[in-house]
Amino acid sequence: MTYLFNTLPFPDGSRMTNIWKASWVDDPKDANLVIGHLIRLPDGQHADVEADFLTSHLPLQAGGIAGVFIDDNPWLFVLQIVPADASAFLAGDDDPLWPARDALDRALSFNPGAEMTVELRWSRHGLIEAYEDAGVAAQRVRDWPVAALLGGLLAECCYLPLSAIVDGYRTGCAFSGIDHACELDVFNDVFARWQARLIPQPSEPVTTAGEEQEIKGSPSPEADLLEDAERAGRPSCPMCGAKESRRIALGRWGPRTPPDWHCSFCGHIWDDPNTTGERPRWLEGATEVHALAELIALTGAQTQQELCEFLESATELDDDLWLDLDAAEPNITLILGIRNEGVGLTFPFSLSDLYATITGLEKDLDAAVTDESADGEEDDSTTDDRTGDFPGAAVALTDVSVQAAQVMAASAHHGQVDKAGLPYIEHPARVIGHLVEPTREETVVAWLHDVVEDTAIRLADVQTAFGPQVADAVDAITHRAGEPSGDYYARVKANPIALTVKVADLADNTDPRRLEILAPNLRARLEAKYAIARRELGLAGSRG
Amino acid sequence: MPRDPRQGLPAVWDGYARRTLRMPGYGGAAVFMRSQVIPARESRGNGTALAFDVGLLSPDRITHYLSRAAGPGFVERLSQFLFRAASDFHPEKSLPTFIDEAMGLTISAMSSTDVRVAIEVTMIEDLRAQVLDPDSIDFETSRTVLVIAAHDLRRLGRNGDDDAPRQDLGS
Repeated sequence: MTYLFNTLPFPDGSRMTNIWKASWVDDPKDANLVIGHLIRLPDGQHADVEADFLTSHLPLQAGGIAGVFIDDNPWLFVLQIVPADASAFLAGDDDPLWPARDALDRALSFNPGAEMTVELRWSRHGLIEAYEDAGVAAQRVRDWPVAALLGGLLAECCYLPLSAIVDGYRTGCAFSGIDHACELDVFNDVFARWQARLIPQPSEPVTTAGEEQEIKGSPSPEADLLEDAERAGRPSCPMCGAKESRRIALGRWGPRTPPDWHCSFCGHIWDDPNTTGERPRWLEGATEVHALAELIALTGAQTQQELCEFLESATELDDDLWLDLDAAEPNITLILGIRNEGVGLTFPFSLSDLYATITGLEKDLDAAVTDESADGEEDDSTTDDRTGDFPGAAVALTDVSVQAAQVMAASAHHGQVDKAGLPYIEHPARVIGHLVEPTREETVVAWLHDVVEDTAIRLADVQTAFGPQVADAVDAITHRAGEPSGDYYARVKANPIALTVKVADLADNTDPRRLEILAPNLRARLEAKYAIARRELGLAGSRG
Repeated sequence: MPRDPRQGLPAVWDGYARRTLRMPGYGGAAVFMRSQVIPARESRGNGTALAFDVGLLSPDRITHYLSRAAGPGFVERLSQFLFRAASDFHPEKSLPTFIDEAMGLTISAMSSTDVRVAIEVTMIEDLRAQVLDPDSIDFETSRTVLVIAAHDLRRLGRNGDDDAPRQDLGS
């Protein structure tokens, strides 16, 4: 466990989301003092914005870390270096840390809800002792400025041993044995790799300078928490390796098997194949799983009563999704938003329609169960090999289906960017703009044309939500790994909806305004690729 | 022991308590709005009116504009503006500048990324001057902050602005 995490009284389950260091230059010979403050921010404040805001008003700040407690309240720990000579000039010897405290008081006055809970102080000698406690000989850091000593203790919070940080101080590289974009500053090098989630967690070996080293540390409350998680059978996050996963019933789109797993550390959501959870009953067998059903699934409600209670206290669903409610009887408008993705969709319903739809879905379920038990094995011919057990009944698309497709695409492409670094969801939106008087089916397929190829959405999800016509078109436009391009374009040409959308897709991909912002070599490669595509589709000389 | 001056007052007092909207940004910039009520005797026959102290903060200055009366539907309109600034793909293109002439306040989205939006907040320094001098601040903030501010704003004016006409920015 790291020195700062051991010293600060963090409750179990706290996690770090940001780390930074100011570019201080101080003289090692000065008797500088260090003061650190742990600040609890009000519920709902954005830790990273508040960290940047606060430290902009602290001229003496040297760095810090930010994160959230297990109750999701954000916190900051801010370090300030007080030049001893200036302090004596301003405040005499009675309170040499006064300038830092006063600056913090002034900065916190701009955030009245923030509360300073802990103050820690160090002398230069005390910082060196922290290194000695970690097994680093004092003479190796004796000449370091105070800012560098603090930088090392901060970098250690990224779970890299202090000894490795000291090793890299002279060269400015913390990972000399690993091919990486070096920051030429050992501390920033560690921060960048931690922010890229490339530093293993304490339970895993840390590789640095070409050698494998085990992180050693005394047992701590956080280590106990991880052990508890393992005992409870929680899986490690496949993205970051953390064992801070929790089950979530607030699923994403479609008939996946909730509860999924959600990593509290990095936010990744994934299915656990070993989990067999119960799904909301009305989603089983539903052939019209549209936006409303998605909203029902998002609430996790199992009964109409639960849904009503949820709607009466609509609130944020999780870190990425929020559901808001504008209830003006007898109509109700649900607003589904995806944070940081710039998406906010409204779904106007009357309450009677809401309940009628739920009831209808339940009846569908009952009918499906009855038919299945009566007909036995006779329905094999309707089962699509690609979609397994999902029903293949025709679905009449509505405007709500189009909105539902937009939500599905936005949630599936959440966090993805295109080659120009823009949110990926803008691409299907532009593809729709290239369609001429599109049908609902074409619009839905345009929204979804990349979800099976590039996201975790399965074709079965698309079929269940939008029916076989849409699923077939999405399937036709989905490129299989290793598939020859001739086979791919032949399949696209055989499906009229897929062909229409693919032409619009190419029109967007070859838009000169989009291509001109790409690097020249990438642009040339893509232009050649799209020229082949247009020729294969028989579009040479025309624009979609 | 000093007595709480609010103790024993009817619940309606809460409607007149001053509340603060705080919209921080990166780089130490922030906009504050603090609500207050202008009594009918001061509002030239327009009844009780909602007013705001508006503060513009950056690391090198803080400026307060006091008791600026809000125009009709101010809270509702600004809340919608902030929500759309947070949720639109490119609010700098899709969102018209928010203007409240009575208060002398304009807010516009200048640029955006998928997680941040840069906004510019302008206050007219003296509403009675013949030549109106603007005082503006621009900063980047996160979309999350804008959503939170939109929700806070509704709470800010809940008691003083309910009768104001609702204006929709359109979708």
